[in-house]
Amino acid sequence: MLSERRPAPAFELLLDRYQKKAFRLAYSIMGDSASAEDVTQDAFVKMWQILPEYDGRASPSTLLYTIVRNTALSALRTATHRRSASLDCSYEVPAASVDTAAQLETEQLVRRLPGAEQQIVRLFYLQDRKVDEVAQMLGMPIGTVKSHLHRARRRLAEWMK
Amino acid sequence: MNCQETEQLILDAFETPLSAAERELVDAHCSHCLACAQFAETQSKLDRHLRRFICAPSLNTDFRNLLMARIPQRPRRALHAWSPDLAYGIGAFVALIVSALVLPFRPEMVVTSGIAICLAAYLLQSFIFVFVNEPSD
Repeated sequence: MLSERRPAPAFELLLDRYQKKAFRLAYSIMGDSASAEDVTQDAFVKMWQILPEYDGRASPSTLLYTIVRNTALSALRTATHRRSASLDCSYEVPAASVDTAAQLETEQLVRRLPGAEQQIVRLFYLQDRKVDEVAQMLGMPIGTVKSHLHRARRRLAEWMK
Repeated sequence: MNCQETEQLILDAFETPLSAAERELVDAHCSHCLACAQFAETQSKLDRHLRRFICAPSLNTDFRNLLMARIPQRPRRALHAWSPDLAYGIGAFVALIVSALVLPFRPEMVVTSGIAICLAAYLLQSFIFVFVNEPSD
């Protein structure tokens, strides 16, 4: 359908179906909702630009997730350069949290994980604990996602003791 | 079942529910293995924490409007997809008319003018074809 010469309705459909998932993926990489939203917007603009050349070989979601990942990683590199002297790259803590201390503690533990494990743990819980979706979004085999997840769980449990 | 296999099943259970048989095996092992029982308890506690504290932020309600404002509108095509065919048809018709007019008076020019007109029609068609097919933004 996307390969037809009607990109506007196809684009609307893509937005309806994937804007939340794309945003969550961006959030799992960026760590704050404002940057994640910027990344999601940029990714959809790029998607719009390439739609006329879309040949339907890869699924639109796979293509979109790839664009989101690349855009987020590129934004992250730029942001890292800007604040290379600062250690403050904290994830947001929602203001409505009931148990802020426990939340902060959990957040700090997650932040100690290596990059890939951190993203996978976040995305796993953001995506209602569906490993296959996480794998598709990150462009990784399911087995790799699982092994990262298991390693992360073991580390986290060790640190929680 | 050894401790390593038990731990693996305990971790798997957070992604896919275990079968009744697997659950029984884990329970049986944990009933006599304190380390694995503690491992299961710590992992359950961790899972509860992560479920509770890793929550999806909501997307700005204005997200779509902001995005649409950034999306350049595609201009309507000035030429239709059949324009090259029309250009070629017109070129051929002009060539026919010119040939009919020139042939009785200057028979030696007919080949030259025919080639020139065909070439012009071909170039015009190619130009329109490129214009019709090029991305509009």
